[in-house]
Amino acid sequence: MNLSVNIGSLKLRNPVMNASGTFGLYDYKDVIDFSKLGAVVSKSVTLDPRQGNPPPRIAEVQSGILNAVGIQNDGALDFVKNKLPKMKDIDVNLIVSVSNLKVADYKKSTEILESANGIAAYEVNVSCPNLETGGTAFGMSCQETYNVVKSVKDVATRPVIVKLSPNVTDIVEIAKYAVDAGADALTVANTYIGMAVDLKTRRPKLGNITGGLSGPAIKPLTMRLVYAIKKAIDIPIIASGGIMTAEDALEYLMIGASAVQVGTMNFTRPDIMVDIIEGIKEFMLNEKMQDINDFIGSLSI
Amino acid sequence: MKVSTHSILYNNEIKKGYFLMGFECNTLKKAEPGQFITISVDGIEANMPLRRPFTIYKINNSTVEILYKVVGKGTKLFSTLKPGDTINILGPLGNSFRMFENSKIILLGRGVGLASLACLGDSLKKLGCDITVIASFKDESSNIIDDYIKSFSNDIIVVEDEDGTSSCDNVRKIIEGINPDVIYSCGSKRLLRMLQKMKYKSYVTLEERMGCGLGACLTCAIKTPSGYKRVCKDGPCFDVMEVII
Ligand SMILES: Cc1cc2nc3c(=O)[nH]c(=O)nc-3n(C[C@H](O)[C@H](O)[C@H](O)COP(=O)(O)OP(=O)(O)OC[C@H]3O[C@@H](n4cnc5c(N)ncnc54)[C@H](O)[C@@H]3O)c2cc1C
Ligand SMILES: Cc1cc2nc3c(=O)[nH]c(=O)nc-3n(C[C@H](O)[C@H](O)[C@H](O)COP(=O)(O)O)c2cc1C
Ligand code: FES
Repeated sequence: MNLSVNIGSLKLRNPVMNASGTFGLYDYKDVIDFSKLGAVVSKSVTLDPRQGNPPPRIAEVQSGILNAVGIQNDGALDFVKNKLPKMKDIDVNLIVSVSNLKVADYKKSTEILESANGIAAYEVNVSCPNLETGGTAFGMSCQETYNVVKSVKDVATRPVIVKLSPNVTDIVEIAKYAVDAGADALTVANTYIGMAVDLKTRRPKLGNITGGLSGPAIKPLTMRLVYAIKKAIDIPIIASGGIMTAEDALEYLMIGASAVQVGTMNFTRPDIMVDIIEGIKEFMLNEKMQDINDFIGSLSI
Repeated sequence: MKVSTHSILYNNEIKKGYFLMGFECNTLKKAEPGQFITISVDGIEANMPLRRPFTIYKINNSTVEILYKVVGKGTKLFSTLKPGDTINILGPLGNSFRMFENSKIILLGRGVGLASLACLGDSLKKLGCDITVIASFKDESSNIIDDYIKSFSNDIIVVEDEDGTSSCDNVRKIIEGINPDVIYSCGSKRLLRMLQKMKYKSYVTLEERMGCGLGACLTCAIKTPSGYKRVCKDGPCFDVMEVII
């Protein structure tokens, strides 16, 4: 039975990986067997260290969660010096998520990451606010998405996956700009901006007031985005949104995603990805399927 | 630390709205005072993606207990579980309290926060400490002192909102009268701020909403003089001077 898939030049042993910011690296060794996963994706790394948003940073809502962590991290240099070496003996493809608040910083942080070994690919997170244009996300504008992707592509020797923001009027248009700038693959998509308030305290539930909605609630929304992009552009897609079970993962594969990311569900069950991979195998066995690639994109309309 | 599914042995309402849940769990046998677990229930993931954190109340060989108050959707669901029903446990998580031997100790708990200090009291007693519990409650209906808490306490002082004895002023006087070596506290930001202004060595166990419980997602941040720290990994036990509330 073949579960391996290709994301451009990146070969994965199976199509399941975590979504950025919802899973640990070396410190999850006790929790999960990394050698069973298709890949792992790091929390987004920025050029300079970032403190993150004031707490509370997470709130549960109907069938999902809102988060506003604010890309807290210790910066790209610290990542290369202190985090990456600890991944050395772990047998899995490491995809490093790159995020920033200025176009130039995307280039600089990619340069720092280029100096290190042990990275399989980059995932460019364009959902953070662009400080130079007043704080709307890069990923909300075709031109800014193009600029960010181009600046990473200019220096990257590894595959560049662009993770799109769903908070846009026409995601297909933005996807085209990302591909024009050289994206090797797309992750579709990030969280949906939302808000929740507390009747008792009469305050917002998040310190940041608004936050990103994730979890099962968003699956139909993101599924529509994956489908729309797949129909319009020929590029490998990694689906990210509301995957809880092997069935959810298979649905995304059926509409054309080459791989999937599991986010929020890692909070519910930190070892869930192994179950999802087993579930995919079981489905293939029942359907007498030899190669998962025969199933990818098999949706009939 | 492991994720595993366990059968509930008992889940008794010890007082209206407060439950004592017991289950067998070998991986928690070696948990240390102050550490916690997170719980989720099979089949409810769709509507409750987040696991609920609880301090380990008592460890008796391989039987582990938590004492919880029904406050919202999750704890309400937990309260309906029957012996034989299964829960999914992740733990032990977080750091543990710094321990002292042969010392004069105050455990200062507000409401169900006292539950987070019980396992600690039991261990300190075994290290030869003299333990005074100062238990602050709204009124008698939230008084959760049971035989277990009595078993390790040399003295128990109950203060309540109803008669005004739970005021910071009064609690401060009680503490000064005892003049302890170390204070451990849980359940009240007001009392925490008071401890920060007193001269005693004091520790606190903090609560913050959590995603992973494993140190990865950075959602459980609290402010400290050296930046944000994670309650689930750097805590939940902190020196009171180490946190900004
Ligand atoms: C380290 C730690 C130890 C705890 N120990 C105990 C204990 O021993 N006994 C006990 O009764 N309670 C304890 N709590 C609080 C307990 O976790 C909450 O009361 C519980 O999560 C509420 O869930 P709910 O679904 O009923 O409430 P809801 O309000 O419906 O919960 C909504 C969300 O907010 C989170 N949440 C709500 N209140 C809290 C809180 N105080 N702290 C953290 N997250 C919260 C929930 O986990 C959930 O994700 C502890 C909390 C922490 C962080
Ligand atoms: C707590 C939290 C932190 C996240 N941090 C990041 C991040 O740093 N970078 C990023 O690209 N996406 C981040 N995301 C988005 C996820 O990677 C994922 O795309 C999104 O949650 C949707 O998938 P899900 O429904 O499976 O959770 C975060 C999500 C959550 C819940
Ligand atoms: S809950 Fe994820 S880091 Fe603490």
